[in-house]
Amino acid sequence: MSFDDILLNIISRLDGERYKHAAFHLMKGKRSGQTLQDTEYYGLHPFFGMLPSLHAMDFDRAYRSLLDSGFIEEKEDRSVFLTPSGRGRASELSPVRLNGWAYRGMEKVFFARLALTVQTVSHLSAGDKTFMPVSADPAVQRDVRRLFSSVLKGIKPKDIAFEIRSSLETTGMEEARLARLVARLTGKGMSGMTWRQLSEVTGMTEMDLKVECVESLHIWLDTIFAHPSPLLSELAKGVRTSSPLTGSAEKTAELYRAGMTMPEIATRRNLRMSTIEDHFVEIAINDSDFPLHHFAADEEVKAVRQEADRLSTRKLSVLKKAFPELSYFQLRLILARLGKEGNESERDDSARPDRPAQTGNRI
Amino acid sequence: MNEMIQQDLTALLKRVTGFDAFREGQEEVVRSVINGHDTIAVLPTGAGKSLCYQLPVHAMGGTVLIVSPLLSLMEDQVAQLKMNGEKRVAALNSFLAPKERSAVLANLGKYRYLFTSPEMLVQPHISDRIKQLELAYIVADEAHCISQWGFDFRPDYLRMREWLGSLGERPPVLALTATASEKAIQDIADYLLMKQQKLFIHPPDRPNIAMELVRQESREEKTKWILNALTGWKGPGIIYVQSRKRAEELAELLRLRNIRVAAFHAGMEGEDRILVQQQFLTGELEWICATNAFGMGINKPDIRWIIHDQLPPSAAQYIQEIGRAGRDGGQSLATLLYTETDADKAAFIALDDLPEPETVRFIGKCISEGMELKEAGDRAGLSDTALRVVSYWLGRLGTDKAAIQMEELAAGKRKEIFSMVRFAEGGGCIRSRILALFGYAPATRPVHCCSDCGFVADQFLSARTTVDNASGLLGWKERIDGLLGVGE
Repeated sequence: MSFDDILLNIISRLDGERYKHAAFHLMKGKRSGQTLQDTEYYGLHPFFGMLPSLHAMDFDRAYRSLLDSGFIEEKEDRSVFLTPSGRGRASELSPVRLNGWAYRGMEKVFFARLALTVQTVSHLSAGDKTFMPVSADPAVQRDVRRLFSSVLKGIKPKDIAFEIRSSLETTGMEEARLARLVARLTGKGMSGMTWRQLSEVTGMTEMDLKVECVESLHIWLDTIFAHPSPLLSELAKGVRTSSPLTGSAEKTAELYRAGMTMPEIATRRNLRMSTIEDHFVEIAINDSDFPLHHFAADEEVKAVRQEADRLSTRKLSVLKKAFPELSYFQLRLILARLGKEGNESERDDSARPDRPAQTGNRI
Repeated sequence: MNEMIQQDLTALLKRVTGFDAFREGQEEVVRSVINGHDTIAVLPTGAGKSLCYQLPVHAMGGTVLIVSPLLSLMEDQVAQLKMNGEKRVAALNSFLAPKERSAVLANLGKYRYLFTSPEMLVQPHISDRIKQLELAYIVADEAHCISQWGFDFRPDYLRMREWLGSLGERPPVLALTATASEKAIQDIADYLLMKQQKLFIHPPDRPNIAMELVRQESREEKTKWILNALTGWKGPGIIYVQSRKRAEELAELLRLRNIRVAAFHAGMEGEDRILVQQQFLTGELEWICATNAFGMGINKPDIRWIIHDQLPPSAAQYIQEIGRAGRDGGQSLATLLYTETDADKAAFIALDDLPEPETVRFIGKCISEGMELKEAGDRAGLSDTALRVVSYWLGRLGTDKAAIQMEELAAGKRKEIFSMVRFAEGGGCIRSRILALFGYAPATRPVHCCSDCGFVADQFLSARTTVDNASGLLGWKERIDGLLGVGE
């Protein structure tokens, strides 16, 4: 799928509710409350953090091209929506196979380890012990060095080739796509191609090639986790996010579990209250045990949900107008839990021993 | 220590490296270090500088501390030593994971060669450990980086002075560099607190590199000249250009003429930069169109031709860049393309990164008002390098003197550019005139000396007779098997 199509796909999910920046932050994997909420509300997990080093210029070029082709338009308030022809185009797109939420740019580490391993085996099997490593990253060099004294010990190049080939076959990706993926690998006397060179040979743009490569790696990694094999599983170690929370939000969560109030946490951590609020929204999105009732009365939660459904919107500004007595923070928390608790909202809310009792969190 | 007689050194060389004889200039330096003298050695690129610091320790025992301002270079040298079978070598730098750093620190005394960066050296816990070592001698590699007059001044390198000053009795210091003006040599001796230092200077002359000067009216003419030259003759070679845009533009024009070429500049992804270097080393690429980001640590012996599309801002930089040709000793060519407007461009680039005196005052004021250095730099729009330079001088001299210092630096750079302009516009033997900028004269006149004395390119460049056709993508299975050396 081309970069333009990916962007169209994202906008089709945000249809009319967000500005263009939402899509940009999403692809870069910004860890702000807003982006994390958007990801959750609109089911954008495949795209989250798919291009951590995306340039605003590349993004703008794609956005403009969608505007120019008449697939998208902006409303007066600058939020972006799909035109009928854009809708038509979006419905024809093949399903996305990105898995940004799980890998968040770490697929690059997997590929760097793979590339250095292949290069090392290639040189060693040619009796050549001196070469310039394709990865300058010391962590990657360390990881690969370790492999040569463990899983790769005594293994023949033939077996490695077989393992890689079998795994790639299992992914079901088409031949031409796989050729583009492995064209970036380097061996003795066979250097990998730069994006520019790959673009010259294939006629695809560099941007489309990079996006395709990310998706190919996500597909491959999903396959490796589903069908482990000795070397590839080792190369893929640690590239999948284990905790859905960011490090900072995790710390806030710990302090909250230990019984501190939000203002206390802000003081202790020397962070602004708005940051702590972002953390709480992130926690609410990810923690099925989040005690929403500590932050808003059940009737309020219910009313907001009904209104959101009625208007079929998740726009904060719209909901704030309907519930001026609720804070933005409360609305964000309610939205964060939307669709997660379903009918359970009436469940028993007896205080849990590991949670603080009602604290002065209504801001 | 007694003066060592020649046989001993040659025997040592043979035992350690397997070589029968020293290359020119090496032996005196090695002897001077063994005899405990502070030593400055200026040896041209490709003359075998590393041997000068690698050999003496085998006669002296203990540990050599090598301080290097460039991380990439440090990594290269460590790799090189390891490749030659040396196990007692380690690098203490910011690349190390905390765990590895502790491992190195725990074993410091076991290493024969210990590489480190100036930043590491002044960290108290590391400095204390190093001071306890039995150091045979201390090496300042790429020592010209210590001079603020040089084209790649690294302020961090000046920290070495503080560290040396904190040592009571210290072992000899060896400063190594490929190019250094008289002024830079003085700086090196001062900043490294040298006493009665021995100086070994070998003119930066490379007799196997013919020098050509071509004057053009415009950039378009330069382009035409390059396209014409490269469709007639083969590389491998490097075209040094001044901007990323120019690198891309030339590479594209050459590629359309079926020349295997790629651009190289700091705007490219790190992986792609490595791939381009790799392709150039293996010969998959014949030419590189590069900004001066290319070349440090590149060791390709058979580069035949260096073309400068723009006047370099200093003689030292020019010599350094053309010195990448002909390391295998083979006859090579260096071409400088010059137009009158080059001087302005060179000045613009060279001075662009240097902060104005007003900027220095502004930063000084911000800091005195309690602003973070980083923020002050952002407000003034300074690059990281420039900010490092400013902060160093602010800390040392205070605001007013630091501002004056900036003016002096700018004046120094302008002077260097001006002498390059005179070089490019002047007449007479090109080799003699560039060497004169360093205060030397060529020892002999090579057969292929320069475009003024005359040289015959077709006696050493190969004519381009065949045309390379771009190949398509290999099938993925074939490529994996090919990479891993698995034949079907």
